[in-house]
Amino acid sequence: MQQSPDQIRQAYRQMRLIREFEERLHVENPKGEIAGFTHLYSGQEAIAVGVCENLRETDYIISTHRGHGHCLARGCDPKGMMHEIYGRADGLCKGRGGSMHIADLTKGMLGANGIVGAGQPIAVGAALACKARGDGSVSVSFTGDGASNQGTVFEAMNMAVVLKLPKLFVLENNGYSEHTGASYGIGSDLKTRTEAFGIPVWEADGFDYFSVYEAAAKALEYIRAGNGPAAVLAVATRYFGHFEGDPQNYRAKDEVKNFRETVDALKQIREKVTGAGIFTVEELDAIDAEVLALIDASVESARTGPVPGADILLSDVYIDY
Amino acid sequence: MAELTMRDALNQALHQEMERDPRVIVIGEDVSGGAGGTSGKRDAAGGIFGVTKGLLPRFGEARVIDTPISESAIVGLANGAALAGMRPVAELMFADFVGVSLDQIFNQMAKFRYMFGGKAQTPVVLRMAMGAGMNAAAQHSQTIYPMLSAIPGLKVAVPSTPADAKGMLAAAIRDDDPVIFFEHKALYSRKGDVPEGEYLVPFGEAALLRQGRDVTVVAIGRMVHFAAKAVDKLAAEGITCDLIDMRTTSPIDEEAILESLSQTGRLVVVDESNPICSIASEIASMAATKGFHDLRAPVQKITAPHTPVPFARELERIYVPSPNDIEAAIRAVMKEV
Amino acid sequence: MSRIIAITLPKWGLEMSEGTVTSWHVAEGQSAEKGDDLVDIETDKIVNSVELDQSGTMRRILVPEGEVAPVGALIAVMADPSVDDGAIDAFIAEFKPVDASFEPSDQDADAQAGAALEPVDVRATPLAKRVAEQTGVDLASVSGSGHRGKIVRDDLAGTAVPARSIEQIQAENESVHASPIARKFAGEVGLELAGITGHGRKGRVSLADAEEAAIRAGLWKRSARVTQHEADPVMAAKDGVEQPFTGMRKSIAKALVVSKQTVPHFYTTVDLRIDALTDLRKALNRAGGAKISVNDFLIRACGLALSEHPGVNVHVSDNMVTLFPRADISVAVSIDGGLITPVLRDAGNRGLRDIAASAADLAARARARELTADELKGGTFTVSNLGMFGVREFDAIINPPQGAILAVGGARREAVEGAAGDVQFVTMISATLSADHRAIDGALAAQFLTTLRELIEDPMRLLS
Repeated sequence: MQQSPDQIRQAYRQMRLIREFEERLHVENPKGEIAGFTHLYSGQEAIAVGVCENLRETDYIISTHRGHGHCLARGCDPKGMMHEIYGRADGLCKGRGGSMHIADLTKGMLGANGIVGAGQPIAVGAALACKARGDGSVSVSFTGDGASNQGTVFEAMNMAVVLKLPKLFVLENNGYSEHTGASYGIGSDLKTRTEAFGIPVWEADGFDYFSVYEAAAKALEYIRAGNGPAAVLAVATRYFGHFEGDPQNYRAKDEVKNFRETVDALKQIREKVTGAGIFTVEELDAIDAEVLALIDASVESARTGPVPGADILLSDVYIDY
Repeated sequence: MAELTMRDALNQALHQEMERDPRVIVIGEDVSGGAGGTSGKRDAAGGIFGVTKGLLPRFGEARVIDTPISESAIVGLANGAALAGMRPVAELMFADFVGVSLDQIFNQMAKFRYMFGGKAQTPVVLRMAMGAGMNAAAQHSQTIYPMLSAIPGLKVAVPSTPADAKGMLAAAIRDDDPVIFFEHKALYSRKGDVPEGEYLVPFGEAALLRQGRDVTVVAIGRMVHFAAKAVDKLAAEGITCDLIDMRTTSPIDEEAILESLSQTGRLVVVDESNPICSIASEIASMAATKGFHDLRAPVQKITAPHTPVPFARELERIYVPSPNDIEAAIRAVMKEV
Repeated sequence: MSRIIAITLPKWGLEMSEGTVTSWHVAEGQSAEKGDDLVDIETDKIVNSVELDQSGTMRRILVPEGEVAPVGALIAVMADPSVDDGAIDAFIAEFKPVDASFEPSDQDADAQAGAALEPVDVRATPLAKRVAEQTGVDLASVSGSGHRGKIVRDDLAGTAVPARSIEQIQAENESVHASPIARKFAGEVGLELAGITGHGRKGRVSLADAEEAAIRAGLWKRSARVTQHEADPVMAAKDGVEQPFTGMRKSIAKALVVSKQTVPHFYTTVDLRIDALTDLRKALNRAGGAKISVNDFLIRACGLALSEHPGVNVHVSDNMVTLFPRADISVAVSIDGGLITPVLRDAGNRGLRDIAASAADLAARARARELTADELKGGTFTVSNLGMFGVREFDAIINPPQGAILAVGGARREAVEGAAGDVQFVTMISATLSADHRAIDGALAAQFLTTLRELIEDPMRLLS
């Protein structure tokens, strides 16, 4: 699973992009300009990027309510996303969807989703289309530990096995199902459960890009060989609340601080690539600076972006009326 | 009488009914919260809108049950427990999540009494937060009481004031039929006088909030507040209205509406739902079939447009019916000779 | 860099639209570091601290402890001490807060406050208050036994109670299970609801129950329609029978009021000799086919006269006149309960028998109320004939947006001077044209009537 320096640079940049995008939203959100719900992905960057760096242009992904990371990892335009989150007419979804419903079908990104567990059967459907097309494409769903308790997920897993579809289930255990610990809600464990459907599971360290990348590569190799669905199980944490404004009474005081200081995904990848002499600290800092400038520019233009009007409210309910 | 938010009024009703009847249990995602968390703190959420706060410390884990995110199983759990003698108050967080659990609602709980020869009862209260206005977008903002009111076997409550919220939730818990209980997100923090102690508001009895002679204005949920603003403004100009808060959309207090219509001859119905097959449509149809000879002007329906709920502030502000829309409708029916 | 930092009231979560400042941790003049707690904000759900995301010196606290501010409001300003006060003032003056309210687009900022929603049928307290005021009772010493624990009149028993008033009856009615409108009605007429058997929903006293009881008690009489605001008992003649307008009556009334009040009418009358026409009509009707009436001749004549004088065949609005090439004549038909004007299309280009057949058909269907909306729309001129009732002549009100209407009276025998100076008896009808002076002048009206007379008096021209 050797990756070229260019691939690694790209992966690092994507992770930094997600991190800065989310950290900035955490700062901007209380200011009141951003409306509605915002669920941030900080802390889980290695999972989205580790999986998506393995994907081809014709593959599909489907995301969750915590979808910014998956969208960015799949190549959605950060500026278009920022405009969407600010509810602008020129946002990726014309300001109609917002943070929870970002989608870009041109990128094979079938949408973030506000209904927990709704994405998995849909992704199985996309896998059916991939199989019908016969071009070796796969469909990927991201599923949190919380969503893994929905009947839709069980049904989707069984269906994908029965129909032997090219479907990757990415199980992201961030430790919390909204305001309840994952351990409380999940009987048995995610690996045993998934394997019981006949789906092989590759486990990964969700803080470590290389670990996720390799697990996903193996799972995708299995799927693209025509064996049916596979899964990647990665454990990480979310640095922020279930949604912005969540007081997080259920978390120990220093839990996040400890994660940030020890296993943080960005910290790990920086140490690994500089330690191996692939990039210098300065080279990585330059990437960071470029990303920060991009985020600054995106927020700046989103803040003053065009406001949608009645024409946007009333169109696109149907194709023709 | 104490001034409480609707959130606290609901919380008080839950406390009082759980105190009164040991068969009452509360179930749902994060109704307490914090289970399995690293802080070790339970009751960390008390429901995402804080309505079930304090129940776990008072009544314990056997009666205040946090569940995994499994809406279909949550409603099924409530149904089975109810058939077996409990009185569950289940919470779905957002009304939109009915989509995940619809079979348990409309094929199961609604039909047991009838299908099983009248021998079964399913005293479930299914609480859910509804409504647009907070930019929660298309899958967290809908007002779907028309859809559930259309299902025989379900009772549907849509309180608009803290007092009604308390009295109707207590009545719902004591009702032997399944009750879908809609709480408008934008009303949780609104305050009002709430009777202390036991307080029940019967189902199927509308409230007359303003008295007038010219127009009957019928409203539901948050729209009651908007309608009151419009009605009060017009009263200053000499146009007076009967303002009727439906309170329950199943059963509907037809009598209250038709009687008022017989005195005013003009009807404006305000409903935050989408227009097709809305409660506004139902009331308009009732006026056409049962109050036709009293009508002096076409019925005016004020609803959201036939679109999903949009995200952006500017879009949602157009989407939600406003007091100005209601005022214009009242003026329109007054223009007809 | 001496940047000015705006501290705004934060939005924590979906529901938050305002917050209370509970305590400031940094006083004016003090400086604080990134990461320090700056201020505690309380919502109705939580209290939380705002952490400073950059270092600075507190220059101005705008919302003191204990006060409420909306999300996005400027609550403080921080800046380096080197920034002068004028710059801070200017910053505050120019600051535009985010509108994070949950109200629809046309709402005022104070919309959240809303209107009080106390049901009117539980208004016990005001009465008790009034009674207490009149009798000097201290309400604080009285415990409430009424609905929702309110103090009601009965709780004031033993004190000097004034004579029974509507308010007292209303208060007593509160404890009766009655529909809200029944309660409202009872309050208006002074009916006590207690003891009335309810036939409404679940035995509730309905409006009908209350009305019957009020009739029995002599408090109220049923009129054709109960609309208290319209029935004025002082003005109404004692034995008059109120007949509310039907829908048709209302629309006639509305249209005519507008026409008579806003259209400047003028009237021109002409006498028409119809001896020749009567002879021709008899001859034609003897020949069989659809019976032709005098009115059919008039419609045909109007059609031809209108094509000769298109200035009369018009619609008039405030700022323009529309001339029509075709004469579509509205024919007034009296029906049960009102008047209806179906349109006979293209009267100038249709034969007499054709017109007669159409007119008969329209009139029959008008009486049977079978006309379609299209058949009532788009007339350019109206003929109204009251001749069959023996009316000599009358002035009609124009049917807007039309420019004119012809009112036709009944036939009469009249003595006239013959060509040789002798006396002749002739059959005459009078026709009065009401015209809208905004579009039609007197001369044009006269010319139109002259043409009409020539056609009627030389009726063979109507056959071509």
